[in-house]
Amino acid sequence: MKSNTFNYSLLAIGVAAVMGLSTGAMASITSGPTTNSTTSAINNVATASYNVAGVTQPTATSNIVTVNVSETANFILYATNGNSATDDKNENIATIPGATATFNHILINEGNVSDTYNINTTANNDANIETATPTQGYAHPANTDVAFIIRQKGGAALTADQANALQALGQAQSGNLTGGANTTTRNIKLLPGLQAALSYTSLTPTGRTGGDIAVGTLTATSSFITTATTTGTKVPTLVNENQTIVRLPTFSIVKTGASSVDLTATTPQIAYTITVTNANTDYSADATDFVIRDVLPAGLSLPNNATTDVTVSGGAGTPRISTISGRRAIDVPVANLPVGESRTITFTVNVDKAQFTGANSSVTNNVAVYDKFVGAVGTLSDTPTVGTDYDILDNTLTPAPGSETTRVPAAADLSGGTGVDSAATTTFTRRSLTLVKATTRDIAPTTSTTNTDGQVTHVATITNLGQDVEGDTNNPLTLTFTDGTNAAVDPVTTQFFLIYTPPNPDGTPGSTPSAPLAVTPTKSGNVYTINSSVLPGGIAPNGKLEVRYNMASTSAVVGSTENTTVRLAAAGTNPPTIPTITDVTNVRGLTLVKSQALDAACNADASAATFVQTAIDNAKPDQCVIYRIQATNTSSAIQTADPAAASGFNITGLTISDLLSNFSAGATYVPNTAASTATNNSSIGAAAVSTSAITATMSSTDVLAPQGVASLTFKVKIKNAR
Amino acid sequence: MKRFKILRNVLLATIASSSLLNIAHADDALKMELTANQVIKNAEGKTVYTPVRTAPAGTVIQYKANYTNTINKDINDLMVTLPIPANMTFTGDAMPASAQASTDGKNYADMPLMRKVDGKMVKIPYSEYRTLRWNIKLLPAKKSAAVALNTTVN
Repeated sequence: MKSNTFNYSLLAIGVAAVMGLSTGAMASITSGPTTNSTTSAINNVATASYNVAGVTQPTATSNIVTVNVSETANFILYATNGNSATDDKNENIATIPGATATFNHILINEGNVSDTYNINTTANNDANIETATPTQGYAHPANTDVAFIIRQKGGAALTADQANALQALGQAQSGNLTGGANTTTRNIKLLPGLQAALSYTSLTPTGRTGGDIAVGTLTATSSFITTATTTGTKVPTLVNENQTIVRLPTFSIVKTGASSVDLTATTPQIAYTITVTNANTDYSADATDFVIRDVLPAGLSLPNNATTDVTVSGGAGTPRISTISGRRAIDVPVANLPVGESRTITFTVNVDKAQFTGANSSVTNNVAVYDKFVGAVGTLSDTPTVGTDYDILDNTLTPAPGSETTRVPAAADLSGGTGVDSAATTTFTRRSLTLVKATTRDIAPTTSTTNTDGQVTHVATITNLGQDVEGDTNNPLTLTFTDGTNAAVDPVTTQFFLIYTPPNPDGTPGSTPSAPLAVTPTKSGNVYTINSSVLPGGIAPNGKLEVRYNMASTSAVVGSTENTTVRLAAAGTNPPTIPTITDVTNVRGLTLVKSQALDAACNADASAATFVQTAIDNAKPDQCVIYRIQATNTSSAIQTADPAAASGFNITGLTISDLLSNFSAGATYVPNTAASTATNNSSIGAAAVSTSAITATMSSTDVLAPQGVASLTFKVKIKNAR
Repeated sequence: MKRFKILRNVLLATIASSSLLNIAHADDALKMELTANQVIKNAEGKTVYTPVRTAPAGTVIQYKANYTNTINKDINDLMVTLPIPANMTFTGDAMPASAQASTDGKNYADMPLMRKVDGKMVKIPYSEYRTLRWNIKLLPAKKSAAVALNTTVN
């Protein structure tokens, strides 16, 4: 790129010369010749004295010869730093806050006359000289001291004659040009063919930041050209521009770690990676001898509290481990980080679970970079001091604290900037849910379909034993009820309820349930689903959610069973697995058993008889048979100890009846033998005999309690000579 | 650009030399003719002398005084004095080299001129030389000779 620029310049000069033009660029490097049109004449005449024959003769005088002197001034002013040593600008001179930038120039007398040049510095941004696109933060000093050293053109030492001639002109060979603008104390005299190396410095203010650009100019004005009489174009003043840019590293600090950690683990850990990159910018500079510091938040610790816990990659860096206010600190000094390169630090910390027990607790781990403009950042104290221990402090804190001083443009450290930083935030979860417990219920073969009469209710309780809210957006829950194969016994979709018991204000389990919340599950086949989105706010830690649902039956077979599996599924981060429960619905009701006993002498008491349901052989005419009809309530006995266990139900309105026609062809009822009994707190009306049947009927107050048996007995006599 | 400058200077020199004209001044017994020539080294490295009337600063000018004994008697104790004009600096080249020099036109001494500075004898810069003088014991009748010195235009 440099050679291309150079060729282009040559081309430009060539074209300009051919066309007889002078360009602005040329004007800044060379004045071009200026010849004074008023020449000065030098006359000379020789004289001689002599003797002829010992007699002194009049002095002889020669003719006068005249030399008209044509005086041509021509000088060059180069800016020797920057991309080219022979152009009019010292561009992109790197500096740092508090440092001085030095600008070097060469002034050459290319004319044939000794000339006096007035050397000034200005704070100007010369419109004709393009250095950078300055957002000019500050200016280089005007009228500052300019050091000079006079040599032959090209840099060789002065000859004795040149030195003498300079001395004769009253011009020192080196020194400082001082004083106010355009004063004679800023003059320097040069013989033809001599050059003066000029240099001056500009102090970069300590408050400057990376990318700050400053410009100023050095001008040389030829007194000869200024006063020359000529019809040509005079360029008495040449201008060089000096431009500095404050170059500082831009640190991009990116820290990553697990976004969430499950505190139910035995030893929860977080693996961190810190990547510090020296970002490439228009003002970038290699970063040297800086320190990366990570002070671990309380509750995090290095497993071995040793440097071996920390790995540095991408270059050298030996970590130091210390303790700051009880927190572990990792300092990694980095000797050199060239522009565009990164240094990576990795380590794993143990998490003290006891310090992160709050809901949605999290920890944010920040990193800071300390750097100095000059020299190395030493071993950092607990509280480093700006200006002493460091000049640059960049960290990942959001928002940036007042102590941060990146010394680069603010935009670089903001979102989208090359030096944007990010901390690692880890949220902790400790999720624990229980679903208890399976219930068993007895249901009649047929229940109401228009109301809850006869329906049975299963109850399960979800308890949040973790530290995070469950059933909210972050930690959604799904309840599914998978009904079994008994098609006559099904859940009732209109009878699902949720009852929430929030924790007490102090976080302990509460005891005040809210009103039941009716929810309608989504039914798909035999699966009923309830999503926790119906729960506003979810289940707080130590909160309880009772889930109730009814089962209904339609002509179910007494003795059959339905199993309904209840599953609680947790989603979100680090979800726990909750065991399923299976609710059992047993179909219970009335069983009717008829049995018989042979009473050969027709004199036995029914209570003492031995009844069988099998056939009685060898019965003879005139012998008697005692019949017993037993109605049994098969539902479970009422119990109170375990709400999850089944409690049966009473049967009412029962009539036990046996038609006389069942046996009248072969036997006759023995009068006054019909009787009824009931057990288990049950009751039934007295047996009654009509012309067609023998019955026992419950009154409105009679019940057949769970496991109760109502019996009807009577005796018949086998006919003789049938 | 430098090439152009040289070209321009050569052009100036050419114009100056083309109009050279010196008219001799006669005297009774001794005729002296003074000429000014530009001293140029040509491409072959030889020094050539070109008559000059206009010269840029820095030009080396040789002043040459031809003196002729116009009578039929010898001239004795001839002292030819050739000043170094103001705005010119003696280059140190004098022909013949036997010339004596003076910084005030009164007191002459052999070259190089010396003076005491801080107790040490040092050479006086040529820029302070103002006059050269040649002492010639004998200029035979009808004979000519010449003296010359080189100067640089300041």
